[in-house]
Amino acid sequence: MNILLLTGGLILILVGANLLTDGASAIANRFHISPLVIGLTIVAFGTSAPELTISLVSALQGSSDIAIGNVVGSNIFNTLMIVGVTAVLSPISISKGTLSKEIPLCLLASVVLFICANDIFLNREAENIISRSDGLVLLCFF
Amino acid sequence: MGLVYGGQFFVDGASGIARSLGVSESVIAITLVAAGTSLPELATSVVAALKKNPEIAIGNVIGSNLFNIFLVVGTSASVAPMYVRDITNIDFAVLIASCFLLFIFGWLFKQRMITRIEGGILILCYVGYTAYLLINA
Repeated sequence: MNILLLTGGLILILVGANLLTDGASAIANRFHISPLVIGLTIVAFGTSAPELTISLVSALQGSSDIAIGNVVGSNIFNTLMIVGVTAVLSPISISKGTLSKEIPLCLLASVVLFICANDIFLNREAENIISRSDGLVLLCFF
Repeated sequence: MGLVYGGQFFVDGASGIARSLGVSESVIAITLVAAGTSLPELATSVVAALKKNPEIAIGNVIGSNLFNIFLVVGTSASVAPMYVRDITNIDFAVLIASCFLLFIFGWLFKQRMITRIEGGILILCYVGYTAYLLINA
């Protein structure tokens, strides 16, 4: 039953993300926006929509370990597995800008998340909470 | 609609499986849920690599990682504060280390190139980390 829920949910999410991407690029086409911009924004959004849905739903239901584990796990999976599998299939060349700006930014984001989640150690608080203010600060980076 | 209901089924299913296997929700989240929600990224990147366009993968991965941390955690925490209980500093450390590894591999061996061997090492790291999580659960 649980496995059915899990796979059924996954299929719905994948189909939903697909429809979202298709719909969005149709809208972009109609308004004559370039394919590159569409790729950078809509594709990135579409492929991460499942994470957003899962984390939002589980945070609302009080399963915040699923919400935060999903993000941490997805990022580890992205960096190790996706880059790994892609590089094995066909070696990836990295542009200078990516190496000097984007990858360090990614590193910074991970460190910021680590800081937000370490209230006990840094603030001597009773529990580790990513609070509303932490959340709003993260949104500001975005 | 598909996204919202799908998300709900997926979360219910995941925490149900966690309970029936007797492992914590966090382990299921980091392994199963994370891999499941990253399938679209994997599909996009593998297709790009097969079309001899692997550079898209790096952009996709970095874009998604930034999106996940800033927008996904940002939005979720703004809506309902998130308690970090079973996700340990080891998990956060692996996250930071994996980004750092990507950076180092960009410099080492062949400048500004992730080679097949480096890709293999990244995969082994992921397998090792997942094995560690499951053994400890």
